[in-house]
Amino acid sequence: MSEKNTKIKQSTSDKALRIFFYIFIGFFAVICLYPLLLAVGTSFSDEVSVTVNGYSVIPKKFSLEAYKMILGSLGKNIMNAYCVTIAVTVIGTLFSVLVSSAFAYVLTVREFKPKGALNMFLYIPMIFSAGLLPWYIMCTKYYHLTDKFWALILPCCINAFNVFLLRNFFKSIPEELAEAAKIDGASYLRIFSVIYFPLAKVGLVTVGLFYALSYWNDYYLVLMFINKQKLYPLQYYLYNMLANVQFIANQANASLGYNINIPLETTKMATICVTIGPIILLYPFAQKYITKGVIVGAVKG
Amino acid sequence: MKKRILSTILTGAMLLSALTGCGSGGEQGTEQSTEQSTEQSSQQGSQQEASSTGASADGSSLRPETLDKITVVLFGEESPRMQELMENEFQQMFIDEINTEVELMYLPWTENGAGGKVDLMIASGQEFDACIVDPRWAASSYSKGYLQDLSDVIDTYLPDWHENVDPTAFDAYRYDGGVYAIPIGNKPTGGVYSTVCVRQDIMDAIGMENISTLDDLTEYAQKAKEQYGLYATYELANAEYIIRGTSDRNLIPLCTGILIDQDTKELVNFVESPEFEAAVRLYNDWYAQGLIPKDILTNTVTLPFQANMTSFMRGTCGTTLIENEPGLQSVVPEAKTAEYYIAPEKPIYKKSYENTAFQVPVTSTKADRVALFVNLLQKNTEMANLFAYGVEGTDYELIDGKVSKINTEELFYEWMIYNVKISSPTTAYTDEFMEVYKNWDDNALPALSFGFNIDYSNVQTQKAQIDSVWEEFASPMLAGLKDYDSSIEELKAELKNAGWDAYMEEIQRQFDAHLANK
Amino acid sequence: MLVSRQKQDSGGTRRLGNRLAGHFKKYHQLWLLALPGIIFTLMFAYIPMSGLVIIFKNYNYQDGIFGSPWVGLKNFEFFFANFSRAWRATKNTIILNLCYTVFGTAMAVMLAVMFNEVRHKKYLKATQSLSIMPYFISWVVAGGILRALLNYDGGAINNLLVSLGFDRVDFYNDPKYWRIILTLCNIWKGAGYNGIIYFSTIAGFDTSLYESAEVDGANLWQRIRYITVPLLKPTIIIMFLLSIGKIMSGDLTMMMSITNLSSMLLETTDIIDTYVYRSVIGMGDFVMGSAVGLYQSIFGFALVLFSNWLVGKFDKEYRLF
Repeated sequence: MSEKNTKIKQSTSDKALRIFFYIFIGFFAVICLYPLLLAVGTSFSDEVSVTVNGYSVIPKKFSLEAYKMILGSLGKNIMNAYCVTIAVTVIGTLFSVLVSSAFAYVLTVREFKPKGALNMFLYIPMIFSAGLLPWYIMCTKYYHLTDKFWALILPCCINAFNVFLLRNFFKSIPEELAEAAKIDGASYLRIFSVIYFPLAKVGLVTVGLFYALSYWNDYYLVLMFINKQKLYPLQYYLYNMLANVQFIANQANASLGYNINIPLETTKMATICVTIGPIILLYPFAQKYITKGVIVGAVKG
Repeated sequence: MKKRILSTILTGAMLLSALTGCGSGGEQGTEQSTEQSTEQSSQQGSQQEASSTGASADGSSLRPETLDKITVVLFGEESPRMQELMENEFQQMFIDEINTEVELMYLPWTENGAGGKVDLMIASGQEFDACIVDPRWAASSYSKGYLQDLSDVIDTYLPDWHENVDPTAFDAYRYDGGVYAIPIGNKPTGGVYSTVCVRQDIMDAIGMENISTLDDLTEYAQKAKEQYGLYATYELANAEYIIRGTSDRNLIPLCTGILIDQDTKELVNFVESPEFEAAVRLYNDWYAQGLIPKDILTNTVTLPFQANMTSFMRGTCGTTLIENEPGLQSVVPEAKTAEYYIAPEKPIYKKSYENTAFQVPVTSTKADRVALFVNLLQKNTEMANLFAYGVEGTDYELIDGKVSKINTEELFYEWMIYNVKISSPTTAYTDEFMEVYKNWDDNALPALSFGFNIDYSNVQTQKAQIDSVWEEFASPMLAGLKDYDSSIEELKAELKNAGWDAYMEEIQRQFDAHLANK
Repeated sequence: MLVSRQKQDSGGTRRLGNRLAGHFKKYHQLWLLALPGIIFTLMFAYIPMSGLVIIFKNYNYQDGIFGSPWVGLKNFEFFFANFSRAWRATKNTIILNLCYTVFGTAMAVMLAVMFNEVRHKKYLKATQSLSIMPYFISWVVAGGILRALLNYDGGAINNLLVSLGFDRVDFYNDPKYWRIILTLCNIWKGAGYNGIIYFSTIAGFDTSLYESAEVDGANLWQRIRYITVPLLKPTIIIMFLLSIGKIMSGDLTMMMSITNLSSMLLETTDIIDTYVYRSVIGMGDFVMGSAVGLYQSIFGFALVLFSNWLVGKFDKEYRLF
């Protein structure tokens, strides 16, 4: 009788807590959604009404000028740009996840003594950066990365933050598994590929997601190394266009003959709508793999 | 063990880097010197060539015998029509006229300026031959040794240019006797920013006929606020048209905190001057009356005047008609603009603010071809129109000598090529306006600051300090937010602390040398 | 004597050689796995790092990086010349970064824990995807949106204050609000994204722990308090250690977009990066900026070593290296 009572009480308090969670999360989501709605609304507005009235969720005066501007800037290169972006993201992510997870695995092997030094080796560049000029000189003069596809991947293919994150995921895998395999005579390579790699799926997907997003959003490497239009990804067009629109807007009263109205604010907003697209598609896909209980099943099995 | 491996790795890395690094350093040095010598020899060669053909003023004889290619860096994005023209008509013209193939390389506008990709490309020896530049950027590049001295080239390879462009434009790019960029375009600059651009429609409605003093301007701003709800301006109190109205002296801004008195040829410490006090007090008043927007220091609206948020802004030599009116009219259809000189009896001055030029990096060996290229862009009406507006009939039509565009895509920048002597105006310019505009500079005196380029390397620390103090203590006063009486002593003390005396002394020394040279 | 010492020496090197050979025999596969990472880090981080000497030089093109004349600490001078200003910038940077780290982490962990309890798949998908969105909104745009909220006249918050009978607040000319505003902005932008890290860490936990706790009669709050949070501790510590190294660096773009570097707000918003930017921008000099960058790095590095040592005092497993 009393046991039943506590159980009911418990479940009601659990329920209350859960409801609070739902509300809190919902509230946060709305805070995140609102600016997005502002962006969408503004991107479909007429530039003048935005300058005068500010951003608004519902366009005061409907206009597609901003999207025309983006399409105009992409022009017939749109397919090519998409292909470059997808190629860089897919190849870059796979490559980075492989390199990073191999490195991270080495950092988790308990008996491997130099791992402390390797940790330090990896961490130092996170704080100390070389400075733009020497880095640029090395990349262009010695590694000859100018106008190469790999220039968009190699310089940022290993991110220390992500490696440490992966190391953390690997550490949560029960060591007994590796010990058992070692007793059975498995090599390190085998332990990595058969036990750690598949079991840390959650971690790999998470880190893969981070890498994918950074490759998808990158325009800096393009700016530095790519002069050929054939290798321009989508983000670079958008970055370039925004930079230029901004400049023209600032220049407008100092220069002669500019009497075109430049959709500055609305274009900014429209680029958000264009770039945020992939995450709407990508995240739920990744989320499917970040589900509970992967390891438990494996240990039991 | 752990330590040992770490240290081996680190020393290894450092050794490796030191080796490669030294290599790069040394290489740069030698490369540069050999390039310079080859450049000189090629120059001499072509000079001889030019003299051997016997013609001096005739442009066509300068056409080199061999076909070569130059890479020119521009900013922005290449419009589809530009791409097309660069593959056909434009390219053909370059080959026909100067036997040079021109390849354009477009970078985003954010890379325009010191520390951007262009600087990186020069520093790492990537090849290109020319890039547009402004006086400020050029000064920084010159001090780093990035730019080529073009003194020899400009005498020989700019025959038509000298006809059509004002040669004083070179002054903005002169350092230690050399010329480091080739200016392009020719627009009146007399009195630029010395006028105030106001709403003529409001003037008419409130019954004001003229604005010639700061009191007039205040009256106008008050009425515009009362009747139209417009703020006065987002510009600070050190705007030239405000300073112009504060005293009888003729002061032209030189650099942070320093003005030049055009009559006594003295440098004026702005903060200690009565003009500073008058301007700040004026803005304090305006702020108290609600004429100054509270977000004057944080707002980023690019063109508040055009968006019908403010009642005046600085004027730009009569061209506000073209620059401000169309934008403004899309918000307020009946709006009209006009420019007035505050203190119209005072003289107006030519300054070198908006002066675009082509720089040639030290790594290029084709300075002569770059000069020919610039010369061609400014050769005559036909060429200037072709490169700015495109092919007649396809891209634009001429109606009574004025350009009516059929294609609105950007080709070579109009604002860069536009030369009041040769370019055809667009239909936006009325005849009356063109009459005034063409002769705008006639009464303008050259400012003493014209062609004076300050080298800050001796007072770098002081300059950095002063800039940051200026931003923090002077700007709020100039915005009217901080009261003159309660803030002036602090500002003076901070500036002194930042090394004002050394800074002023150094600039005075350079200025004296500049005057002595003139 | 001499001979014997030689013998000893060669014996020593041989022993070392043997040990190395043994090490590589045993671990060559591990070295092989780490090799790509090592090579790329060397290529793109350590080798260019030699260029840091530029900081102590007066760089010019003719002489190149290594040939330019030495100037000692001259490139640091502008920063420390006015000590009170340099100190203010350092203090602001550290305070803001601490706020970002502490409150940002707290929010991210809270979100992750809460997401973990959501049972409706669709609700989870929708809310979590939304919470990541701000990460993709650039600071420039975020700054514009914030202005729409905080403006003196017409700003949404001021309108709300007025309708509730309060006075308007002039946010943009009063520095005292800005530590809070900046922290909130930072949380808004990063919490959802960083929450993914904790969410996926929780997803990796052994579910049997929760099952047995439930059998023992632990309620939801107790399960979170005594299982989830302790299990998250290593991850939180790692994230904290990683961010400590950057405690002296700030986000210039964020400051520029949000405050427009307004002189009225510098009291609380002038961080090292903005101070450098405001000082050096007039000269287009990037070497002076890099010099201060080194100051930021060294300070950060020292702090990381210290905190790493401190963490190691409690549990060696939590250390970064």
